[in-house]
Amino acid sequence: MTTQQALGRAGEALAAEHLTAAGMRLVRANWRCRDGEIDLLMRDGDSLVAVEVKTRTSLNAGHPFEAITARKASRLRSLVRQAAVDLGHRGSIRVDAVAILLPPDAAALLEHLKGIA
Amino acid sequence: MTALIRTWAVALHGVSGTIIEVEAHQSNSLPGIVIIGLPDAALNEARERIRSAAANSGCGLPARKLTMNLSPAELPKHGAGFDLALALAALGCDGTVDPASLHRCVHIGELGLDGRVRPVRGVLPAVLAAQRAGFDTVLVPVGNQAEAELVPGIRIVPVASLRHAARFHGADLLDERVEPVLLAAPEPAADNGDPDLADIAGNADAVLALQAAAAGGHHMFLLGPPGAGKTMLAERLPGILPDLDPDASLEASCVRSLSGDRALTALVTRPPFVAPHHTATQAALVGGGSGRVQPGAVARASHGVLFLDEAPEFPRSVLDALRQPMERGSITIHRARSQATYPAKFQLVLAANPCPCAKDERDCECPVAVRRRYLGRLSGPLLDRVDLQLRLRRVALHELQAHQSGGVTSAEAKARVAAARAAASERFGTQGWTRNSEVPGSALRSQWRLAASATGALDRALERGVLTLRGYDRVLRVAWSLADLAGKTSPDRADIGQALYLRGVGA
Repeated sequence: MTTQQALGRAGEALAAEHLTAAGMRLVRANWRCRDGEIDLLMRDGDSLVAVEVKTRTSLNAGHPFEAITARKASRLRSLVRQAAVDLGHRGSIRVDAVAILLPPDAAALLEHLKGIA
Repeated sequence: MTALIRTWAVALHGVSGTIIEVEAHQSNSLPGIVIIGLPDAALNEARERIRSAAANSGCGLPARKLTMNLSPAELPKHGAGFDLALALAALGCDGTVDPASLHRCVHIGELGLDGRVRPVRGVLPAVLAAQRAGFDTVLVPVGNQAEAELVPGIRIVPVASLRHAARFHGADLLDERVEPVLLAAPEPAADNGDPDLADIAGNADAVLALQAAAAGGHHMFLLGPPGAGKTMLAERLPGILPDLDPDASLEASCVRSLSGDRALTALVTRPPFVAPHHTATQAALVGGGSGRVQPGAVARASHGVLFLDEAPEFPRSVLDALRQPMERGSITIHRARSQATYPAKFQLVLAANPCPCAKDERDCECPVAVRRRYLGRLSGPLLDRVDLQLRLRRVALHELQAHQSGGVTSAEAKARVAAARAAASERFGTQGWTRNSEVPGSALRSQWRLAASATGALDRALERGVLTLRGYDRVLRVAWSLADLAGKTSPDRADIGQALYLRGVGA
């Protein structure tokens, strides 16, 4: 596992922990299908939620949210639709984004945007 | 986090400005900037400029979706002058700057990617609009500071960079010295100053006609062979015109601010002189262009002289486009989505050779029909508005020798013109006319009717059909100007005779 991948996994774990604490339930981490992957597939009440997690160690390359393009967001939207069919989910669906800043020498910073697509 | 941030900018159309409210709203969505409210391409590119400028100023924009609205939304907005207001409104969204402070100020300026504030055109009319709308503080680019300070009664805050502007609005940023972006210095005045009237050898009639034109604000047509001194005369007209009054000065300065690439550091106080080449298009002359409507030569010549050398060589449509601004004193250019009005109170001087071969009359071999057709390109309706129509000759040797003694200097002529204008404005001022050329013929023939003994020659010319009634009125107007120049209370026989002589070209 490269450092990048390790950072991504660490971020995803942190995000899952935070969202669970906030009352959401983890359905599956790294849900995959032929068209792509959802970092965290979660349930928030009646909603099935695809959570995209972006982790950075600094803001040098811009804010993590800036890395989520409109195209990426709409792809997540179609992925969560497929996941809903897969799991037989009948409620609403949603796409969220979580940005995590993990500086090597300071506390982590987490931001959560609901319903981005 | 504040929901909605408001600040102010200025949109220009022609020389007038409208205060534009810039609103920024931050929503919890992926980062992005959306600008709405009829922005043009340059304004839409502000999205990229303000993001980079903010990042390079040490205060990144909030990583959320920002929706920016420019209202009134139906008014088209052009150019990069809104950058500063947009960037500061965006910074207000996450509390980097104080929203209350933003709401008190008007912002003008373009941003570079490095965060420096670049000078823009039209700062003078924009600051004027802010001052008239009752604002007391306006932030302008350092490069436009001198121009903005020409407007009295408003506090001008020059800013060199977005960082300075943000600090002014209470941002907690380090003060960093930057090299401000400046405009080229104003064009240095010519060393020898304006050309002097005393340089003109001979042509005493023409020198007198020029003074009459200056005194009465009459348009002029100079017809003569090459070397007769048409251009020399025309160039000396601005030099004998009086200084611009405060309103005219402000208007002329606003036009220069909109059309110039150089810094404007003082108000324009002397009448401008604009001499477009005869290949000028209609848009170059009256103003235009797609999208943003630029002022043309008639606007730049406002309160001064518009000189068209080789007038018959101008396309006829271009010449006829001058008629409406001459009548109205302003030019309104209409586009599908907008219109712009510029002042066009110019004094027209047309010059022409008698024929296309441009030889002296003795050597000219042009058939009569060609000569007639050449001058026929100047349409009747245009020449109808030209009070003084003068035929010039080449200077003869004896005139040149006589010139050694020296003729009228520009300074003397300017003083006479100023006195003549004062007399005219005292006489007609109550009617709202300030110069003889503005007085309608009907008034000259009724309220200010001259004694029959004075107008005898004129009446006979009208009777014989040599003169049209419109031509009759023009002679009267010029006669009044000649009388004013001579310090008489009203024109006498000699003035009428001279005025008749000075319109020698045609009836």
